[in-house]
Amino acid sequence: MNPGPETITKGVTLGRRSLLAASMATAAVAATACGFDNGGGNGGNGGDGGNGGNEGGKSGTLKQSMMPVAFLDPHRSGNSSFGQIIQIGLWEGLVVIDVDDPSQVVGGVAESWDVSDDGLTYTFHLRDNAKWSNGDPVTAEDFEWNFKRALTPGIGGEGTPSFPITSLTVVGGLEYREGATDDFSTVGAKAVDEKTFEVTLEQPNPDALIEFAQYSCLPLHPASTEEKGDAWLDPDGWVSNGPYILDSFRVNQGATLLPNEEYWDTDSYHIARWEITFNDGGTTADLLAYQQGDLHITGRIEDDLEAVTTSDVADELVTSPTNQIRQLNVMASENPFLYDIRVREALAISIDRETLGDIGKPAIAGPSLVPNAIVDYEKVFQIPYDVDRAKSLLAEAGFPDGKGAPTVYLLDYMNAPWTEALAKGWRDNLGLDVRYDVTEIGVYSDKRTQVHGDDYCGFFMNNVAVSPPTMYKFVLGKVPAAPNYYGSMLLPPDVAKEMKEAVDNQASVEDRLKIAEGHYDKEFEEARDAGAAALAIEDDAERQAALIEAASMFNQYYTIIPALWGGYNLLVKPVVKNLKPWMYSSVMTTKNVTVEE
Amino acid sequence: MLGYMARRLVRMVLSLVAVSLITFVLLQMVPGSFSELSNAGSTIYGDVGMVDGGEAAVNQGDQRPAWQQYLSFMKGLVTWDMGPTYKYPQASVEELIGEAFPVSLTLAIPATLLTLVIAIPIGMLAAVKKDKLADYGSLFTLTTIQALPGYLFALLLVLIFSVGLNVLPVRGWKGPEYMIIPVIALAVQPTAVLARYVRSSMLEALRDEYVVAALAKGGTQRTVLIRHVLRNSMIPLVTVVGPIFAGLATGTVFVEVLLGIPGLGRLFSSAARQRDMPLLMGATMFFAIILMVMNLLVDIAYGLLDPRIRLEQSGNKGSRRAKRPGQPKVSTGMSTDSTETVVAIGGTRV
Repeated sequence: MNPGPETITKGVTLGRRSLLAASMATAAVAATACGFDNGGGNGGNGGDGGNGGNEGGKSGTLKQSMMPVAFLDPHRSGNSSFGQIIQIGLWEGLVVIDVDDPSQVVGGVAESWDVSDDGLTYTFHLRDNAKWSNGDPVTAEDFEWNFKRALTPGIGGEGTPSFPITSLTVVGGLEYREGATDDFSTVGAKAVDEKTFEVTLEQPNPDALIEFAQYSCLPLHPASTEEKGDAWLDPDGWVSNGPYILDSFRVNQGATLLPNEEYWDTDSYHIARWEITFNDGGTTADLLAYQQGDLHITGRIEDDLEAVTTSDVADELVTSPTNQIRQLNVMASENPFLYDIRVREALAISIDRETLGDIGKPAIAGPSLVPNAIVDYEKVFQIPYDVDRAKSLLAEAGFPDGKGAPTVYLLDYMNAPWTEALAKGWRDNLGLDVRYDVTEIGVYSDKRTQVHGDDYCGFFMNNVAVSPPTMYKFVLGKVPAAPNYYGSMLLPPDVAKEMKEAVDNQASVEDRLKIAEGHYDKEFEEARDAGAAALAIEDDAERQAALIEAASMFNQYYTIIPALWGGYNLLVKPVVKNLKPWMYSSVMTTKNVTVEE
Repeated sequence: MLGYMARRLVRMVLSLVAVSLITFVLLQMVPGSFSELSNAGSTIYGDVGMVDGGEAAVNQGDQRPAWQQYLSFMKGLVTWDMGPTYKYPQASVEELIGEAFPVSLTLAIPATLLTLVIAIPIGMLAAVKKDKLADYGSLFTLTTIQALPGYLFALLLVLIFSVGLNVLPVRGWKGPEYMIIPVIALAVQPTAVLARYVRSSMLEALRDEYVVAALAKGGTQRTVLIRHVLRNSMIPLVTVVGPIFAGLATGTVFVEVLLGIPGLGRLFSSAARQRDMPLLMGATMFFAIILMVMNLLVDIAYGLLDPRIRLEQSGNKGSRRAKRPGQPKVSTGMSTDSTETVVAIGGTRV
């Protein structure tokens, strides 16, 4: 039945009013639910949302911008450096990095520690005044609970657990994590008594204390974590043992940290309020906000450092010692050009790294795969700049002045002026046809692992960190458990195809070893074997010498060619005092840092 | 009306299934997975990988067969429990959307109101002063503005009001003052579109016989314009305003990313960059739902505002496309059923 005219008229009138009312109501709801990230916090941790005040001898609000932090669980891998900055603010491990000498550790929750003569057993003596933010004492049982949690199968959810079991080889840890046993008493991480915690390793590791100071060994508060379950991250009722507590955390917006007055060393931390904004909008936006004084610190500047180094705040850029390498990695290809070590060496020694360093500031020339944050880096073979020898090597390989050589591609997903300069250098010095292939990151990640046809050969560009930056860790990273088929483990194309299929199908390490058997170059196998032997040496000095030798051998294989070294870069306002970024992926600490407002 | 609603709802569900399938298949075809991108290394530190070996972060979720991923997602969508994202394992998809949507909504509502407040008078003025300086001037300005992307306008506003005059913050989301630049930037293009639409719509109405009749009966020009012409011209505008609002409410990537606004657009762009499939699928489906609901609301609003449409909806099941006598079929470029409704009303292409 059709409605009559009266109904229609009434309907129209009511409809308009209803629409208007609905709009107003929606506007009102939206206005109250707009979720401004004004640092209001959870209301449960005493956040005043103000400018920091001067409570407990602390003053000033530190305003920092960083890439969005995905999560805060220290027992999960895949977090960014920025996440680690927050993590080491919230929690404290057994030992911490020494602010004055970052190559060393000082006591954290542990006041002192003993290392057995065989270098396998670490006994930590916990300080009496170490407390959780709710006043509970931090005990050895808390650490045993946390080691158990960190090694629990599936702790990484769909991701990867963070505990570095390949370098911090806790006895029985790998078996427990892989589910071979569910008896944690078989694992070498035990509370001897309330204040003594003992960790036993399967093999000595000169970096063990540095590893204990990293985010993956930070402790959660057992009782509140168990009680709150998946909601343990909720700032309401937050408990942690570091210099700060979490007042608010929104994954897409930012976080606010407030001082933990129960922290045993709270007098070394002077900031009353730490406001963190997450920015995934690139350098331009952050640089503007920083220049306007809206931020004290930003590390969100890496995708356009040129804009920073040419801006009026360039002198406020601070950089850590270098622990990263911008490098070129050979891709597998049916074209044999780059399978000739003479060609690779010619390419490596015809790079003018000093010039690239001038272009790629604040990065510096990187003549080896071992950057300068690593002790004894200068003793590792340094790749020279020798164009004459490069030409001679290329001619010897059958490509005089580049004649007959295929086009060499440099695959990247970000346009970097220094890479363009590198390509130009090869064109000018060696007469090669070099093309800079900049593509979308997904295409890049796909393309770099392909076994290319005869018409495509070259290198993919990437940036890697040695973390923690030590000679031991560098070599450990070069002696991988599972074989691969590109980069330093370059395999002939037909074998590489078979290996790619195996890798894509997640074949076992044994199967992959079988495929690679007898197909690696002897130079690679010699370097790998030298590395493995060096890692097993017990004497410190002897081991270091052998590690340097192995690192030098990797440097002269030239399937991975270093170009530049880089550190962590931050823009820091002059009002922020005593802040020095360090060479660990946690980038910085706020210990001793003040903000003069 | 109930039958019409039921049919529309069934079609909405089918459309959503189709959207989910197409989106999922397309995303599977995109090169690179979350794990691969996580391990690709980056100069933006924190994403750096280990040298060769070490324990690279691998996400098991994106290693599962595609059909398992799809079924798992659809189950989550139906129960509104889509679980954690790859990138943010401690937050669920629905939590992230639930946090971001009010932010985008907070910008969309004032931006839409601002659009209406500015566009309608300008459109009216241009129509009334047709072929005069005011008409040409406003048309030129509107066309120029329409060609200017919102994010460029945002940058311009930042340079003037934040960097130059230092009266507004550059970026962030900490209070009402952070809304001013994005709201203006977001309103600019829709204002240009709507004003041109109002102008055309009014010119259309001005030619109708009832206007002549109203004037002949002694009505003043002002009364005829407001009471008759504008009122009738407003009906087709619902079609334009609905999708404009939906577009703004589901986030605008460039402005949100540039100005650091934690809305849906920024969330979506971040998920897309990182191939965070659960979040990407969840956000896409949410967008689809919002757009479909807005279109449904627009159609219902038509029924309420114009009796002829309601008669068509309830009385003409076989042919839902009603044509106003004497009006040609035109397209507005708008999506789905609202386009049909515009055709029924006789909207004019702008």
